[in-house]
This record gives sequence, C-alpha cells and structure tokens, in this order.
Amino acid sequence: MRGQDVFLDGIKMTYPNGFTAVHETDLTINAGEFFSILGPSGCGKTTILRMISGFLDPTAGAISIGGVRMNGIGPNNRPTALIFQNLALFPLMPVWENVAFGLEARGVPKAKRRKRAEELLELVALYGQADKMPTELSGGQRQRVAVARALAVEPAVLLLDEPLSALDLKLRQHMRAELKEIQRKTSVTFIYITHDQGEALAMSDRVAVMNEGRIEQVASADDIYNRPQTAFTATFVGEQNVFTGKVTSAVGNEVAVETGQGTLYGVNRNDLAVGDEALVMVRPERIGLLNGEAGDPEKMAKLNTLSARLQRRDLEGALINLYLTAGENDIHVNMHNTGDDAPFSDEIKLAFRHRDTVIMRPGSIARDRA
Amino acid sequence: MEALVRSYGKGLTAVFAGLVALWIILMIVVPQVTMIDRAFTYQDRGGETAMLAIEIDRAYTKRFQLEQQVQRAQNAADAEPGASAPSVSAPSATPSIGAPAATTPSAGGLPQPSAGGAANQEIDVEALEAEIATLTAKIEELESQEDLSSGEAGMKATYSLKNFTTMSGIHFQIFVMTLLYAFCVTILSFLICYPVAFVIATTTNRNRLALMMLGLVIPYAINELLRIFSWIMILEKNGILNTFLNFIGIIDIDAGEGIRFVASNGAVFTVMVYAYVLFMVFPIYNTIDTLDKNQIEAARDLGASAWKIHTRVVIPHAKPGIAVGSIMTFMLSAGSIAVPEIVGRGLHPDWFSQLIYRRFFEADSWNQGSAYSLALLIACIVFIFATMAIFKVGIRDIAK
Repeated sequence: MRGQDVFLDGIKMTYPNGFTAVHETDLTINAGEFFSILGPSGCGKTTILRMISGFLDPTAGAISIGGVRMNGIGPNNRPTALIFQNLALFPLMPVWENVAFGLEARGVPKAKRRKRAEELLELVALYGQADKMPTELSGGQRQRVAVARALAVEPAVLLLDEPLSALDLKLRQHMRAELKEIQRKTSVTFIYITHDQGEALAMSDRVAVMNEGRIEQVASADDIYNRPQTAFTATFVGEQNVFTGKVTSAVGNEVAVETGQGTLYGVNRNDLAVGDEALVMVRPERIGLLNGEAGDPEKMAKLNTLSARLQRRDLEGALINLYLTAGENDIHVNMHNTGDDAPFSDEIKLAFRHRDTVIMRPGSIARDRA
Repeated sequence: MEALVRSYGKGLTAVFAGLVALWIILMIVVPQVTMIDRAFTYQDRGGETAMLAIEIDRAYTKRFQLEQQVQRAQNAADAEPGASAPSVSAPSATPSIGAPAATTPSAGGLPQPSAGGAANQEIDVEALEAEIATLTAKIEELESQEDLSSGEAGMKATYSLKNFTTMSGIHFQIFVMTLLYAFCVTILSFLICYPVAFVIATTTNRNRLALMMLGLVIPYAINELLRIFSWIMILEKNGILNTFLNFIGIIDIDAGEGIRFVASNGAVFTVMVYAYVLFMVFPIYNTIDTLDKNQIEAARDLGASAWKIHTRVVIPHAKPGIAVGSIMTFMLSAGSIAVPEIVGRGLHPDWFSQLIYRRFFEADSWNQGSAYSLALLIACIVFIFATMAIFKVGIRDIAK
C-alpha cells in the first residue's frame, strides 16, 4: 500500500436548491499524510469528503489523486475508500466477509479473500474474530473492522468521516492512537473529517480549519493552536477570552489596542494598522494571577494586566477553572491545581504575557463549539 | 393478557376475549372443520337413492319455476285490468321460454303475443297450477320412496379419501398447473416490484416519494372487477392495444389481423400481476426502507457493481419482505377466480379455483368441492413453509 497525494483545484459545490456548501477551494494533501479537516457541523467538510470519494461531483474545479484527474469517475473506480460515520458494516455478513467485500467485488477467489481478510484483521488487532457477526463485537472492534474493510481494497487515500464520534471518550482516545499507528504502518494518505478539535490536533500532521464552506487555515496542529491566522480558527480551536477595541499603535509585530479594560498589547497577526478595529484574544491557560512580578518593572513591561471579579471557581481535578467578570467582559482562567486550596479573594489581579496575546481583524467567531 | 386487564379492566377484557373466541370459533374453526369433514365424507352418487335424490331436486326446481311464472302472470293481470294493454303479457311470459323447463305445456301455450289478453292468461295460470299440483304429488311420492330405500341401500356417507383419489387426471393437471401459474405470477411480480420498491425506498425527494406512493395506491381505490375489466378494454380484439398497433401500422384491424391477447396465459398473468402488485411492493418497500443507505454507498465505494450491491447487500436485507410479498401474491393468485374467469373466458386453461366453484355449484358435489379446496389450502400452506425455509425467515421476521 502506498499513499497518493490529493489535489483540489478550485472545487466548488452548489446543491440544486442553490445552497453553496463549498466555495472555491484549493487544497493540496501530500502523499502519506494524516490530514484532518476540522470544522463545525454544516461547514462543508463532509461535502469535500464526498467529492473526493466520488459520491458528489463538484460544480466547478478539478480533483486529482496521484496526478490523475478524477472528475466523472464513480466512487467504485477511485483509489479511495471511505469509512462512514456510522461505519455501515454489513450486518448480515460475518466479519471476514465484511473485510473481504471489496475483494469479492473485484472477483478475488474465496480462499485468497479469506487469507487477506485474516491478515488485515491481524493488522487491526482483531485476529480470531473473523467468523463473528458484526453485532457480536464491541464498538471499538467494529470500528477496526471498518478500517480493515476499507484497507482491503488497498486504497491510496483513506477517507474517514467522523468515525469515532459514536464511541465513548476513553475508547475514542485509544482509537486515536490506533488509527495513527495504522496510518504509520500502511503509509496510506488519511483524510480525516471531524468537528472534534482534540482528535484533529492529536492525530494529524496537518489540519485544515473550515467554516461556512471556506477553508480558514491549513497548518500543523501546533500552528493552528498557537498561531491561528483568523478569528474563527482562534476561537474554534481551543478557547479564547475575547476583547474588542481599536489599534492605537503598531510597532513591528507588536500592537497596542485600546479596549474597555485599558490598553492591551499583543502580537499583530493580521497586519493591522493604527485606527483599525481589532480583537484581542488570550487563552484561558495563558492567564495567571499577578503576584511576584508586580514590583519588577522589567517583567511588568511584558505583561498585560487587568483586575476582575471572581464569580465562580470550579475544580476539575488537575485543573481549576475560574470564571470572572471585568466590566462587560467575561473572563475564563484555567490554572493548574497546585494543591494550594486557599480561597481566592473576590478581586483578582490577572496578568498575561504580550506574546500570548493575539490581535486580530474582527471576523466570525465560533460560539457554539461542540 | 395481564397487560390488557391492567389497561382496560376486567369487564372490557372479558368482552375482548369473548369476541376473539367467538371470531375464532365462528370464522375459523367451524368452517374449517365442516370443510374438512365434508372433504373426507364420500357419498356414492351412482346408487338408486342418489338418482332419486337428484330427481327430487329437479322436481323441486321445476315447481319453483312454475310457481314464479304463475306469480308473474297474476301480477301482470293485476297491473292492467281488462284487455287494454295486450302487449304487456308477452314480456311477462318470455323469461319462462328461456328456462330449462321448456318442454312443459305452459311454455307451448304461451308464445302467442298480443293475441288473447287477460282471458288467455287466465287459462295459462290454470294450466300452470294444474302442472304444479302434479309435481307436488310426484315429489311426495318420490320422497316416500326415498324414505323407504334409505333404510337399507341409502346414501352411505362414509369417511374415506375417495374425494381426493377420484380426482380425474385432467383435474389433477389443472391443480398442478394452477400452482405453477401462481408461482409464475409470483416470480413475475417480484421481478417487477423489486426495482419499484427499491426506487421508492431510496428516493430522497419527498414530493416525488408522495407522488409514487399515490400512483401505487390510487388504482387500489378502484374495485377489483373494474380493474380487471379495464384490462379487457385494453387487451380485447378491438381494444386499445390493437387499435394502437393498427394506428402505428403493425396490424390492420379491418383486415381481421387483430391479435387475440385475452384468453391467454400472458393476459391472465399480466392482469394478475397488476391486481396483486401492491401486495408485493409494500412488504419489500418496508424492508428496504429500513436498510441503512450508507451500506449501499459503502458497497459502491468498495467497488461493488450494481448486481453485487443488490445480491449481497439489499436483497439479503429485504428477504423477510420478499418472503411476505411472495406468500401473499402466491396465495392470492392461486385462489384467484375473477381474473381467470373474466380474462380467461374459458379459452384459457382453467384455474383450480374455477374448478372448485363448479364442483360446488354446478356439479353439486360439495364433498368433492371441499376436498379440492382442502387440497389447494394444503398446497398453499406447504408453499408458505417452503418459502420461509428457502428465505430462512421465521414467523417473527415476517411479523415485523
């Protein structure tokens, strides 16, 4: 098995009812890459997947896999295999026939099919389950049968449509590692669709964040989380405390924004100029309590500070969540549980570094995250 | 039962149970037991007593006909007093001429239309009444003879298999052919209905689905006989189909080239498939509708051809529906009487149901009729179990 690259050239999908699910999109997915498309439901990610697999034909643009143009070629003739959200195993066939179905469709003799099915079941750690019916397996096992079934046709590209969403949290985390491992062993190109940022960040070599039919940003997981380029990416992946304001100075990479909480300094992500409307964002885990630094002017020069009123303190095991208000802003702070369970005072001085503060052009903000 | 008592109370539950028991006894047990009893009761119809019985029956029939004639003549006489409308007497008498009792003197005396009027009628009535009196006397005599003879050599009603074993070769052939034809109709229905059911079940457009459903159901709002007759309109020698063929120049009706579509296996099968299509479509539709459509897409994605998708994914899932549809279509077509009667016109080989009808009401042999019905019933039950075994579905799957 060898992965192949996927190249989307200006593809666009408008449904007959006039709804444009995917606006003109260019995307290159490298051969053998674990690539995720992350976005809220209805953002067009499944449409892209169905166009790559061949169930939908794009209204415009071209799709090529391994350099071969795929437009007009049906799903049964593409070097892709799709794993459905609900897995869509054939319930009336035993596991091995499920796995070998693609081979059966290609006319491979039975003995050979059986042998190949058992090899694949071994690959997904299901050896000896060949003659069971899918209903006799657990959720995670069924998941692996679906992977084996898709791999049986030796696809160059494996497409996964939120296949873990039906599993419970523990199993999901376990399956992430297994999928990643299978991808490494087979070096097939994985294109993984999800609305779960944890899955996307944990498994992927690269992630594309999508919103409303457009790709917002394509980057490595680290870049997506630490260096988001758009307001949507910043707020959809992970959590952000958001302040609005106007740019008052822009020196090099650093800008100052006048907000309701005073002037906040941060990194200029979108080349904002003085006078521009701006969003100031900082992640809950990057905010700390101001204590020792207060007297050190050198350190203070690199910090934004503000005072807030504590509304609620939630203990979450390793983490402590503080919910505060500062003026009209709600602020969420996320701290390590250091074992010091002394109560917080009502008025708290918060501080966060300039380099952890992101200044961005206003754009759509992800509100209802999954 | 406990659940019923809890939700409806003891009184109402007792009423339900009573009604169900009554229904089972009256509508199922009693008729079936009677039929089985008759089927295994053999009556020797060749003996002297049997001949007597037939003669008595005939005398009764004749007397009944005469009595009706008398009544009709009297009614006519009452209707117009005097000799003012002589023509009316003729129509009132004509039906009797067509009746089997044509040799009776009354029939000979009647055909003088518009001649005698009321006076003539009175004579006729007298003659008829005299005739009736003689018949009544004859019946009494015959019946007393029957009472005497039934003592020793009477109609021996004995239990035996003779009603079955005396089935003639031709009847048996019709029996076998009927089952075969019903099987053909079932296969044809399946071939037509499966694609229809699949298309309906996989339609995502709601409006189109509603339209297709309507298209299927509306014909069933029309009486079955009307549906059959509409096919006659199409298939008749001067019917729509031949007219169309004439129009496009394939045949020339005026030159007598009209094709005889009716009274052929093809016509009977076509009409029957049309008559029972719904019983095949809906069970299959119901099962395909429950199939996860992703399975079809998954199979396609794995490279399966349309044939493979249907044989490996859709049909195995739809098996209970196909079994139910086949059973219903088979039973209905094996027992169908209107279609072969109307479309077959006696030119098409008989169906067994027609034979049963004639055993009962024309040969007047209820015992043999029952035996024939029982044979058909058993054949159908065997078909049900065979179908269930072939499709590997249990009663529970079918109940779904």
